[in-house]
Amino acid sequence: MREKTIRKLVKLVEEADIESLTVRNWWTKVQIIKKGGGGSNGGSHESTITIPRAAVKPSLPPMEVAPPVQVAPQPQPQPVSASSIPAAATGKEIKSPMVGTFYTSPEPGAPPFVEVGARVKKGQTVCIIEAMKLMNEIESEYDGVVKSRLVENAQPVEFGQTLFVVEPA
Amino acid sequence: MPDDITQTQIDILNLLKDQNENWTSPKSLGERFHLSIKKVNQSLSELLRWGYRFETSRRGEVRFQTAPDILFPHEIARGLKAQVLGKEIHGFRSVSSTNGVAHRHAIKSAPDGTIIIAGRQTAGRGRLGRSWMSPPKLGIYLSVILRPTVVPAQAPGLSLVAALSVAEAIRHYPGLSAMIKWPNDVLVNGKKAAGVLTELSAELDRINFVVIGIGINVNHEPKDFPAELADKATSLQIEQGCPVDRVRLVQEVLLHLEKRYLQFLRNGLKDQLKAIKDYSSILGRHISVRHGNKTMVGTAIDIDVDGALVVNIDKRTLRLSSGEISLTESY
Repeated sequence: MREKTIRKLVKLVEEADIESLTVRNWWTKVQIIKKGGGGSNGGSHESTITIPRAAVKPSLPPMEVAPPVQVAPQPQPQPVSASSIPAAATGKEIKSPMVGTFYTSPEPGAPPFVEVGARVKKGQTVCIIEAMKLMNEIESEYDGVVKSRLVENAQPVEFGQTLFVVEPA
Repeated sequence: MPDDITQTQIDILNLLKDQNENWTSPKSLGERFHLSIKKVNQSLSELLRWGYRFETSRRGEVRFQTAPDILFPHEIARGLKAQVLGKEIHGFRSVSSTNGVAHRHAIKSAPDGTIIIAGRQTAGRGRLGRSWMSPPKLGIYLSVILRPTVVPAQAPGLSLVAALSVAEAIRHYPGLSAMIKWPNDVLVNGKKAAGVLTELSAELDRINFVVIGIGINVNHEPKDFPAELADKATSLQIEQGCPVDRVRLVQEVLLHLEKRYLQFLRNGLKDQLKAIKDYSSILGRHISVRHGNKTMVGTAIDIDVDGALVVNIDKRTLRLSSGEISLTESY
């Protein structure tokens, strides 16, 4: 992860009402803990954020930025609980329920299930996540408008990674 | 349509089958099922029309001779050893895709283990819409609706569970040493004889249902494959040299799938990993992995307990959960 990115994150933690911030993307994990962040006032405010690969592009040297195939990450002791990226988070997120490959359309060359800016209905298929030839048709949980798509077609995704942001209607 | 066979006809048929070599008079059939002799004879001629054959004695008694080569649900249900899979079987002569029909049944809350079966698919789905050839009477096209109590992240293992079950069922036939090409194809003598396509409907933390689609090339002859598939695809008949009873093969597949599925619910892939590896056609081999438009070359070294393929590429060890695998020259 770039120094610039980390500086930004540190600033974010300083300003926000949280004690620590863990950021994971495909290859790296950065945890920023506020100095003397007195955890006396009840529950911890730690938030774990998964930044989609597509959103934080140049994180490491080319060799590892572009894995030629889906590489399943080593099993993690507990699932990453992903929450929103504060800056982008006015809409509702559609997240991946599993590790796999993200497909925007039912088959190569076919029109995508949804375009950014399109209206979606609750239950409408928005993409496919494939792993070991198991096709998982991901449905929108909301009626609304697709505000953004955070993953490129045929790219690997992680458990809990945000795929789309939908502005509820 | 197979659906048009009535329960009365099925009852008569099953009774005659139970009698083996013994003759049965239409009168006793009528008494047994509270039917007029006229109605019994009507049912028998309907069965004849479907392709069933009976012998008739000089005294007008009948006995069962042969069944037509049709994947009737009542034929699959009779003698099926699986307990959960196949409790409900819906048969079609021809459907666009059994997975599509299964999907619709699953949404309408079809029970765990419901089977959709067809002798023909007009729009059989391969991975990402690639079509799976489905001529009538030659293959088996079936979909199983499952409602597993595992988290969605574990579901991809079901592709291997299904591929293993199909391979084990095919291995019952002499000379057919089926192998699994990770993760979802079944090969006989190096050519594709069957394939699995699994579809999942899930929330972030909960599976609604899984549809496992299985296509098997059973009684195809070489001429039934298009020329471009001649060196890639095969059928059980081609490899064994004689036709295979499709009904019995379906029963074998369901029995193995049920056993392996219950194991999977208890322990994930742990109890079947050895069998999956033993039957793997690619472990220890040089392979190329294509993903999108990128290809890389390496050696397949293992399948791990999540079902991921472990590959050595340029001295790096990677775990793959996607990609099209093909064997490269291994010497």
